[in-house]
Amino acid sequence: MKIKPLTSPEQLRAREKVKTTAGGKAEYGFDFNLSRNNNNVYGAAVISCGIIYITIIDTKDKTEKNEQLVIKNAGEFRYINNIGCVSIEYTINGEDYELCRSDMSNALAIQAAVKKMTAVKEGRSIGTNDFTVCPKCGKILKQGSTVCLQCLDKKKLFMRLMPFAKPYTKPLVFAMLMFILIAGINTYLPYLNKYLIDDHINSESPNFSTFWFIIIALVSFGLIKAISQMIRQMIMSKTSNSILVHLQKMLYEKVQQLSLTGITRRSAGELITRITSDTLVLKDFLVGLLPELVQQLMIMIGVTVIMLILDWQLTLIVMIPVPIMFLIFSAIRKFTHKIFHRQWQMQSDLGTLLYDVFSGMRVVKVFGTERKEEAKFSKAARRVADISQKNELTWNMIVPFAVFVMGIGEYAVLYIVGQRIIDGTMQVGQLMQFITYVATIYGPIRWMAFVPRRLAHTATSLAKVFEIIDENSELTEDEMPITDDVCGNIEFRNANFGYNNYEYVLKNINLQIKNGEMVGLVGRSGVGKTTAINLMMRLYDITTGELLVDGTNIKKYSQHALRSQMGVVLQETFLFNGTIFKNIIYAKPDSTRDEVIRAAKLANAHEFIMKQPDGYNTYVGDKGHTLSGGERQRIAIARAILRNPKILILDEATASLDTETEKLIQDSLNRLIEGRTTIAIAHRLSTLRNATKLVVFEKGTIEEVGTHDELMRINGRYYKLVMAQRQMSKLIKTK
Amino acid sequence: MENFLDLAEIKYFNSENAKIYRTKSGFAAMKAFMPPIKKDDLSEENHDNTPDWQDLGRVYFHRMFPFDSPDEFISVLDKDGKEYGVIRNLIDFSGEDAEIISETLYRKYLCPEITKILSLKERLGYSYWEVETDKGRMNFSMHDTFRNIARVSDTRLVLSDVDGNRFSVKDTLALDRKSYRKIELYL
Repeated sequence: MKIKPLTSPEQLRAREKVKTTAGGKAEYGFDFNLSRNNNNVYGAAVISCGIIYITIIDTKDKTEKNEQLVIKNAGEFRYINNIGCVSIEYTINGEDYELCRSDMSNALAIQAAVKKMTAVKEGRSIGTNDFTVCPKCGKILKQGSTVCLQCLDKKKLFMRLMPFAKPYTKPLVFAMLMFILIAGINTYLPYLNKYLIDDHINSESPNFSTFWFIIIALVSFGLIKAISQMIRQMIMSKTSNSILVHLQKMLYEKVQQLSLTGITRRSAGELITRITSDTLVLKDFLVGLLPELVQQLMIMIGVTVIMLILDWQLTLIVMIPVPIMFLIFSAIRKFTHKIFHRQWQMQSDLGTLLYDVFSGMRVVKVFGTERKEEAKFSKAARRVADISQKNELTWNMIVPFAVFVMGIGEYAVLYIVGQRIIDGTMQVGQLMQFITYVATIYGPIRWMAFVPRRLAHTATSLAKVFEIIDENSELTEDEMPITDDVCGNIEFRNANFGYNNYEYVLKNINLQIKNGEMVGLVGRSGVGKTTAINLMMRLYDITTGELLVDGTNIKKYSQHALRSQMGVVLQETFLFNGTIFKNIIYAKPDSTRDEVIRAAKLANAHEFIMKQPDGYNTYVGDKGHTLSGGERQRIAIARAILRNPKILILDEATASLDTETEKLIQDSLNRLIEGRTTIAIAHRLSTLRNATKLVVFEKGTIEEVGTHDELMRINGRYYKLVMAQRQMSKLIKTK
Repeated sequence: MENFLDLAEIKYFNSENAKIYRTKSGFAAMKAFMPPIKKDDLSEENHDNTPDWQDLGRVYFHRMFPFDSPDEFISVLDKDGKEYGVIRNLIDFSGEDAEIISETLYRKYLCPEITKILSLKERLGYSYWEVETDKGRMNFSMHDTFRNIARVSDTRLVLSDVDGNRFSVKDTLALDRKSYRKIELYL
């Protein structure tokens, strides 16, 4: 398979040209390939000594353009993500200009360029290349991915699977021996048959003593074959399941290690498939396809050798149709793959449809669209039926014909050997032997035609599995992580953060939170409050700037130790399948029952738990007793309290509670706050009346910081928010 | 009884109440007859709400139904993605105005149209395409091919390659027989 030529000569020319105009020196360079009007051009750019140089070669109207821009002269550089194309824009005197434009293949390089130009503008160092390049095609790889999707070496991929079989070398080698033994018996049996026919049954002077011996040999070979097959099967199923568990465990561990970025990039369903089905495919390859392949190859080689020794001329005649047959079968495989793939897709569509409707049954019923869904379903079912009918028809038309073609070789042997028997140069037993061998050798060939497809299937799963295994967790653990207890001082210093490379969600955040403070984060939704909390928990790492915990960079702490000192209650509370008790104790499995009950009391959960018939043993979660939003939240609060955390994080933790319960919980939390740091996000501002410091976020920056009174006095955004809420509730309370 | 939906208003632009022009550097900009835009939500609320001609400066367009009707329902936005109003149909504008809008949309949405499939090979989960498009011959590769082909209608496809580029097939039935046979598997 030829992959597109790596870099076109015109592109290289553009690169060379831009380098010369820049004086041969460049700190960073990138390609682009679109003109202003989305026409294809060859473009290259370099950043050198604070100036960006650009060369555009248009092969259509044979023009070449060179431009340059002093980076400091421009206002702001922006990465513009269009649909199917990207561009860089900058501002001079309030006017927007476009620097260059490219399709998506250079998107990552252009994102990096914008980052670097911004760095140059702000007088920071341009930094090293913060992305990895595929060594083969020179393309920039997606973040977190170590394999280039196009240049993936498939052979290496298979080799990587071998280490998983290594712990099972002994049983696998033993099983392999069994395979060889069976293959050997299979090739030897026709010879015995020939001997039996020619020297005994069809002989003029039959030898009865050896006749019995041959029958016994046949019987014992059959027995040995059966026993070795049994042993092989036993070994294989045992080993295969161990390998499966091993693979699944490793994958699962890896998924848990990944940062949240890596996990949220994929859907839960996708991860589940990778852990369950993809590993199954790999297992099937290791213990099914691979040994089978070895066995079939061995039979093929063995039989061919024996046949050559017996009669090389005849063998060559038999072999003539082999390549043709192989071709025919590959063609059939491709064809059937095509039709069955389609059928499979349709069936899976049908499954999705069903899943969709059944999980959304409530919506269907409420909107009264049962008839419509019925029609949709029967249409899809009809389509599957039509296509599978068609497929079965074609299949049944092809297969008998293919079988006939396969038989041609045997007919040829029959003809030639038959002639020789009539001539008297050959005997009936030899005929039998040869025909059996021919049939034996065609079996593996037929089988081999389907190997490429199974290999492809395996390779896809392999790539998916190793993609996860190879993914580097973006959150690296320090070599000597600090595991000490923290006091709870948190400080953001010029911190910037973005979930992607080109857009900051938090910009230039400076914030000091001292031990024992209760800090309220306030602002409209989508301004970065939850992001700030995610950073404090180190679910993500800040992009630039520093985040300090007790004066030390957060990256120096052991992630596990740090999080173990934090208690978190999120807006969406997740309860695992299990009892209420198990859900609370989840935070600290070594707690006593006494502690759990106290935590529940503090969270105001005890009362409603006691109203459940089974008390703390009430089963909750997906399949269990349904709790209301407020009840779930109280269980989550109990969970956080139980941990006795140094830093308590409440993200809209009391949003689903009525004001009275909220007040009760707030009061109990207040007792807890002493000596601890509490960070709370709340839209209902009354929740934060006890806060020692309020931080108002707006569009990713901190707009105001102060106590309630201070902020009310400056008459800013907080004042507006409070006023708006007061108007809404018509309840004017002064603190 | 008043319809629920009447409560939400959509500001539609047409040649009567809006004028499109180019900024110095060639981007689309707009002057519109409409109530003053609240730039800062902190400012006092009781200001004058009578509509007037005003210069909105550079505007951004975004198609509401890019697949179904690319030339209808085009949202007009500011830099931060706040909507000024909607162009219900491109034919509500004429002359240079319409030209600027189409050009800006053309620059934003890059989606070469596949006219012929020269070669399509699938190997180990990836498919490699060589196609003839309205922008010339192109090569691209796709991963998880079936899932990355959006079937917009029974005959219309939008393909996304490994980099995130998009390609469209306007009418699969209009493709020549050989091309159709190659892509048939994914329909």
